[in-house]
Amino acid sequence: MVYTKKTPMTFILGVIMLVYGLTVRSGVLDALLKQSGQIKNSDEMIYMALTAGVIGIVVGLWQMIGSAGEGQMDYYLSTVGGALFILFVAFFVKWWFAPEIKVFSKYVGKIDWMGGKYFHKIFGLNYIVLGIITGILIVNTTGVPKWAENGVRLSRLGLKSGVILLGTLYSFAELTKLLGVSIVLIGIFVLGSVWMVLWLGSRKKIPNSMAGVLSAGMGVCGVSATVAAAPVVVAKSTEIAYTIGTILLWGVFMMFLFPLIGNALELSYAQFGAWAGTGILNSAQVAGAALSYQPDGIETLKVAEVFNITRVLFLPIIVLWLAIWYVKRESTGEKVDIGKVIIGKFPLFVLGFIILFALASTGIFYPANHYKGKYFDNTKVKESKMMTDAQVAKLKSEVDKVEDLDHKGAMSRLIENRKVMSEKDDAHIRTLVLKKKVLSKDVRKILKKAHKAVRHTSKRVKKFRQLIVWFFAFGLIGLGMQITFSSIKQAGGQPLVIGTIVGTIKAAASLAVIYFLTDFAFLS
Amino acid sequence: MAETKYDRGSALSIFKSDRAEDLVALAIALGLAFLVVAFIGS
Amino acid sequence: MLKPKRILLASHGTEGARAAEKMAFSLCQKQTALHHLVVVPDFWKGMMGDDWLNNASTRDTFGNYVEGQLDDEIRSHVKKLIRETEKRGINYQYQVELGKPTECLIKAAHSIKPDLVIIGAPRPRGKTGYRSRMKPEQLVHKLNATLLIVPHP
Repeated sequence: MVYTKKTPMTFILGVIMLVYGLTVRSGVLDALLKQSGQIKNSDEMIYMALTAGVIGIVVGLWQMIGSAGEGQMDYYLSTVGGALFILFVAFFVKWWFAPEIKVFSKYVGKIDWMGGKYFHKIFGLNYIVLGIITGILIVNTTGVPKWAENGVRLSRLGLKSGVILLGTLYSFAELTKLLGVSIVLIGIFVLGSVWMVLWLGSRKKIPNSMAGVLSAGMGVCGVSATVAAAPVVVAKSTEIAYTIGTILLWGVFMMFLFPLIGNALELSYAQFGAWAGTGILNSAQVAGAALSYQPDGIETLKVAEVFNITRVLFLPIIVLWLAIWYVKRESTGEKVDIGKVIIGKFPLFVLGFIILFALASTGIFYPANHYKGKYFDNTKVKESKMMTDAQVAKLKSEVDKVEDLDHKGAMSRLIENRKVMSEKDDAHIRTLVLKKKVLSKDVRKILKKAHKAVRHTSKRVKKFRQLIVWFFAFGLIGLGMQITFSSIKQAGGQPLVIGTIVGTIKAAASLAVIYFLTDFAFLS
Repeated sequence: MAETKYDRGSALSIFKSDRAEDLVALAIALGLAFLVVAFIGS
Repeated sequence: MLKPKRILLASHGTEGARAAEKMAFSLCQKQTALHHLVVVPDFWKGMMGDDWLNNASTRDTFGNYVEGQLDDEIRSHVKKLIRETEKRGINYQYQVELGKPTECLIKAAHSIKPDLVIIGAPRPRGKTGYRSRMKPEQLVHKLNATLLIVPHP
């Protein structure tokens, strides 16, 4: 089979991108870009558009003129068109559509009855969400063009690469802390919702097979879990259609609802990441919601993805549980091969994440002892960032309120030197920032500033963040192109009823837990 | 579901197995990581 | 009274479709050929949705499993029709297509050229089943044969 399609589209996309890159470089668009606030991204535009443009032109020419025979080259090069198609949507949405919506939203002004915020903020209308919507709209209206179909299959590769690269951004302390919390939370909520579906199912007397698929879908990671569990519990085709339809519907709905609620409650980035990671059913939409909550940074995504990975690791356990549960109920006499289930369902890319994390902890990318991507160095503190006399006086007035001797020592040394003196002190200062009951708001603000002054973001961290966000954008837009309304429309029957009950309880309960965990260590 | 459009990979991925997909993702991630280290100062 | 020589029946075994089947049987005479179209709705293609976590073997297992399920359902449905048509001495044929019901029916009608097309009425609200129904407006515009819609029992 020859995959290369005789199409001018790859070439045309390449030319458009190249011309765009060159136009931005020439500075013609500067005025427009300044107006939409995108001038800060002009370097990114130039190198992304030029690189993609050149690839598109070369491959596009070959597709038009060359004669493709069967083989590796034909196969892999035929994906370029689709990849450029997704990138084109991403470019358009990130650099023009989303910024213009922001401009429009600012023009409309803050909306009083929505808490005095801009509507693009409230609805989380940034390029990730708009990109996913664009993907969904494309597949459901015109459909993905034939020449792009082959390449759209790269979106999963993009997401996986993004998750693996994300491994570089955690410090050991951060990851262990997050993992601990996520295992507890995910454990409670995953097992809780699986159990709840099974219980509701038996009360409503739905077939075991239906309860089985639905519980996996509501509990672990949506469609993925349903796909894994359906053959195990011998689900009927209508049951699968109902369940997956329900989950897809909920997934898209939650991606909008979560940022809305998060904004209304003013959750911190870490809180929101934890909530999305626990409450949203589909794992792709967890990433979507996290990036939607914080499009310019990555803290939310980092927390959400750890929760996501924990969930993925729970998947084999749930499938195993359902298998045993089902065999017991239906007494089919089959034996469940535990080893086979665990190995068969284990996602290898999680190991990739761990490998990159391990590499990063050796310090080959940037100083290893970073905290949230920032490393400690108090020799680089600029004079303007040193504490002023007024600030020192303010700290002096409250230092005696601190009872813990370590904390007090750190604060005294800070007062003496007008900057944080050691990494250990920095950790103490960071804890003090959270002591709302002990210190006044002003003092906590000063301490936070002092902490920030000695923490520096490495240029490489910035580059990694940028790459990761692009991979996620690419993957999520591509996944959007695979969500069809005709599948969503299948939502119905008992799965819709039970799914709605359990999904709502799960989202609300996890929100409540996370909301009241504000002072808990991992959210600092 | 009889998809005959692709005789390699599946409707969802260009790779035959996602062991391969995972490995390629790892290779991409490692490659980019070393490019970043090579071209961007810390 | 209608005396069709070739009937195209669209049915996938739901309640409404069974009413259409009965109507088709009653209209069949000695020489009538009954052509049965079974459509597997193409929303199944989107059923792996945005799953990106499973490995290929899991997805294959799922794909094969769903295929097997649909296959079983169609086979038992067709078997039942074969039995009933044999009893009545009707010349019966069937055809399975993957796609949108309306489009598949129009396509089949163009290739078979029946003089009567029989479908069941859309399922009433509240009944369970797939959401993938015939679109009568489209049929009315594009069908090249008489269309009979049998009301839901």
